[in-house]
Amino acid sequence: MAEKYKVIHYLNQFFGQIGGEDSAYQEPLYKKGPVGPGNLLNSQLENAEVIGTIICGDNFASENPEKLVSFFRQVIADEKPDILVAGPAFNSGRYGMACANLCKSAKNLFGIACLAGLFEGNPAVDLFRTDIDILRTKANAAGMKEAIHNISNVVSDFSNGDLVSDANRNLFFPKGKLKNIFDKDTASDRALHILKLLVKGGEAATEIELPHIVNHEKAVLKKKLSEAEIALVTDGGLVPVGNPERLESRGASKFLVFDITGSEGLQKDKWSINHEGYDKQFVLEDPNRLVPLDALRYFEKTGKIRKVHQQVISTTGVATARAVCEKLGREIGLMLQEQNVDAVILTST
Amino acid sequence: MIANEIERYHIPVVQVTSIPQISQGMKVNRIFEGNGITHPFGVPKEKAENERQIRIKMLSEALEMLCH
Repeated sequence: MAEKYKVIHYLNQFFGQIGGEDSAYQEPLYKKGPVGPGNLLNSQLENAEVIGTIICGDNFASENPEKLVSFFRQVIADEKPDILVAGPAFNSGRYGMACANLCKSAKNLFGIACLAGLFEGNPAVDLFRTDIDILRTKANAAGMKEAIHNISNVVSDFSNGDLVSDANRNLFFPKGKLKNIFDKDTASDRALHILKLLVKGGEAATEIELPHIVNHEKAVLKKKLSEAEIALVTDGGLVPVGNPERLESRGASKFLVFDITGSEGLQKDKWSINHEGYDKQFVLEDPNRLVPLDALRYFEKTGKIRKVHQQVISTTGVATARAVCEKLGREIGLMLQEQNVDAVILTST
Repeated sequence: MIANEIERYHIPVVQVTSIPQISQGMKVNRIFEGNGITHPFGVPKEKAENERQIRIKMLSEALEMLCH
């Protein structure tokens, strides 16, 4: 019987059954055999097996990607795997980034076939879709069974070092690479056909999808810093205690505006955090660690800036759809422009 | 993304983040690296007054980025 392909599985601290946000700084560790969802994957593989699992905390992976890669290098030297499966991370931003970064290293530095399982809204998809093979998943762990099923099918097709085949290509996000094919109509004929459809008021699919991220003009501070009014904005989910305006803890649909006239800093008994994406204990102890109002007031007093804008703006940056982010950003921008704010310090978690 | 949208209104933004890679991918113009996802402007292991001084220094650097 042919030897089975060796699969290494990458999981975060939660799916790796170490802990929740409290374990987000877990350093990478390696366990022989499958862990958590890796067991389901392993049970569905015929020509391969999950020989081991790398588990790492999301914060550690985000802040120390090179250390995770070094750890991975050591695992490869010991285990000599054929395939790396990372995630599925669904819509988790930090976990998705860790999966994608690891896959990119696996592919570029070590020549190992790999895939990451991500939801299309995950920031890692747009950043890495052209570099690595990303399998589409649903937005959260309700889609785990389907994701594992798809991953096991892809691994079962594995041969000649390539996980993606014509048969399973539709399971992956397109890389945006152009493939030459012959068409009976010339490009000019097809372009005219599309134009005619559009002129008649119909719809036509484009043959080339424009890139998602568009360059924008860099805004410039039009006066000296000492003459500028500076506003503090955050997507760390800052809310007054009790969250009376009900800012969402994920998928924010709005932003909140707080008057901080006369406040020397953010006092811990007045503020809270409603955000699912990070361990809030440090910011709850001192909200200035998120929104540095105390420090900005210092610069107002010493004249480094002219004025602290009297409002702090807060929203929640986790699992927020891009279209909503853009809308919120424009509304905030318009409001600040109308209020003659000169510049913004935006803190993200 | 919020940073880029605010900049459409000619207001320069410095984004303070502990995952600069995401902001770079989104083509944010001014990125200042925070001191950790859970405390971008904090240093919890320091005494309060030391931490405040460090925060002042960090914010000073972030403000200077607005001038470039």
